[in-house]
Amino acid sequence: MEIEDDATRFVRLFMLYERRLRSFVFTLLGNRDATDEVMQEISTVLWKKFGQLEDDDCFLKWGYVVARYEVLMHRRRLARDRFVLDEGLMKLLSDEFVADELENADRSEQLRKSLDGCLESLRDPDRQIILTAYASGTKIASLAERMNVTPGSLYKWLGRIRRRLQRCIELKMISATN
Amino acid sequence: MIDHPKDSSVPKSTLTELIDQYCFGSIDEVGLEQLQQLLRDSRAHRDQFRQEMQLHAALHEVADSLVSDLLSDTDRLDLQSPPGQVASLSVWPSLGEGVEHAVFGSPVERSQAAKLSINRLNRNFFSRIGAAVSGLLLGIILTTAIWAATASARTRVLNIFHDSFESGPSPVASGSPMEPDAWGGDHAKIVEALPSIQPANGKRMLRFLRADYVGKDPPTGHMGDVYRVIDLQGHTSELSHGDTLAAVEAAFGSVPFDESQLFHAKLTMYALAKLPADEAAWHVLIRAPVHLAEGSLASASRRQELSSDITWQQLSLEMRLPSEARYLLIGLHVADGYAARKHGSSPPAVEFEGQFADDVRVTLRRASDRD
Repeated sequence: MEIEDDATRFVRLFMLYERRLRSFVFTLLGNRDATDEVMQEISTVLWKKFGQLEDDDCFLKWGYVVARYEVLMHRRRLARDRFVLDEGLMKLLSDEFVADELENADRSEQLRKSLDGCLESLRDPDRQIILTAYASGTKIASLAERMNVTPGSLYKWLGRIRRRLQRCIELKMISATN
Repeated sequence: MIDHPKDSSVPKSTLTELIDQYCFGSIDEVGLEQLQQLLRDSRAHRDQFRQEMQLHAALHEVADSLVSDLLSDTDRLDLQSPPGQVASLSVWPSLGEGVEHAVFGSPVERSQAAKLSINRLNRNFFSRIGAAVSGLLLGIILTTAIWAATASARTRVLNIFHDSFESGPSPVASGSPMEPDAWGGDHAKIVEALPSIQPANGKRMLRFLRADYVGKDPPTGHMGDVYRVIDLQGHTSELSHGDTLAAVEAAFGSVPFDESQLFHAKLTMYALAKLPADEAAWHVLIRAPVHLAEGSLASASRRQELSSDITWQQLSLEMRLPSEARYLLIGLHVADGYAARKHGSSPPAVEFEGQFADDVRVTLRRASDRD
C-alpha cells in the first residue's frame, strides 16, 4: 500500500510541476526532441529517488536540481553534433531561471493564462498557422510547401505572430500584476 | 557576470532573430557565438531570452495538447482499420489525405506525436482552438473545391490568354503596351524565384521595379502599372451576341514587409474599339485612369491590400464586353500606399523592393452559360 501511495503522490506532484520543469529544460536546450528525451530521464531519476524527498513543498526545487544536472549531461552529448550554448552560460541561465521561478511561483501559470487569451485575440489565420506549426509532427518545410510559401517566409510569419503574442502577454501580465 | 550599461545598443530584433534561429536549429557557428556573447553581456538579454524561450515552450505545449486530443480519436479509429491501413480522421471527414498529412505529418509521426504529448489542457479552450485548426483545413479544402468547380465550368469557357511569364521579354518601360502581344508600362522585369518568394506558377514571375517609365516627366508616381493588349478580333462572332463576359485573374505577391508599410494590388481591364494611333496617344489615354475609363467602351477594376503575411493573393474581375469591342486592355498595378499618404498622388517615383504579379489569365464566356 505504501508503494501505491508513493506512486500516487509522485504522479500528483510530477503532473503539478511537469510544465514548469519542461519549460526550464526547453529554455536551456531550445529543442523539442531533446527536451522530451531529457524529461524522460528526469522523471525516471525523480521517481527512483522519490523516497528521499521529505517535504512535498520542496518537489519543484528538487526537480530543478535534477533537471539542471540532466540538462548539462545531455548538453555534453548534444554538443558533439549540433550547436548548443556553452556549459558556463547554461549554468548561469539555469541559476537565474530557478531563482526567478521560485520567487515568482505564479508567473508560469500567468504566462499560460495570458497565452490562452492572446491566442484567442489573434486573427484566425494567424492562430491557425502558429498552432499548426508548433504541433509535434509538423515539418515547417512541408507546411510551407502546402501553403505555397518559402520556409523563410513562414518562419518570418511565425516570428511576427510570436512577437504579437509576446507583446500581448506582457500587457496582460502587467495588468494582472497591477 | 558584469552587466554592460549599453544593453539598449543591441536591437531587440537581433536578439530575437538569433533566438529563433537557435530554436529552429538553423543557427550557425557565428550566430551562436553572437547569441552567447549577448547573453553573457547582459542580464536584460538573458531575461528576454528566457521569456522568448518560455513562449516557444508554451506554444509547443498548447499545440501538442491539441494534436494529442485529436489523435486520441485517430488511435481509436486505427484499432478498427485493417493492418497497414490508417483510418481517416472522423472529426474532419472531408479532409484529403494530402492536407491531413501536411498539417499533422505521416501516421508514424502522428503516433510519435501522441506518445510525446503528456499534458491535457482545458478542453473548452481546445474545442475552440480545434475549430480554428479545422477552419484552416476547411479553407484549404474549399480553395481546392473552388478550383475544381472552375475547371468544370471551363467546358463552356474560352481561354484566350494565359501568361505566367515563363517566356517572352520583360515589359517595355515605355509607359504603355504600344501593341498587342507584349507587356508594357512602368519599369518591371521578368525574374526567377528569389529566396524570399517563389513564383505563383512556373519558374518566373513579373517583378514591379519602379512607378515610372523611361522619359516620364516628371518621374513621379506611387503605382507601378504594366499593361497588355489582348486582340479580340478573332472572337467577333462571340462578341456579336452582346452578352459575352470577359474575366481576368492574376496573382499578386510580395515579400514580407513591415507593418508600417502598405501595398495595394490592382487589376484593371478596359474594352477598346480601336488602339491609340501612337505613343503620344497612348500616354494621353493611360496617364490618368479617368481618361482610360472615358476612352473605353467598358471598364472594370478591383483593388486589394496586400497582406504582409500571405505571399500570393488572387485577384479577379469580370465585365460584359460590348459587341463593338475589338481589344481588351488589361492592367496589373501595385501601389505603395505609404508613399501616396505621405506625398499625395505625385511622390517621387517609388522603387518597389519586392512586389510581383504572376499567372495572368483571361477568359471569355457567354452570360447565358452562367447557370
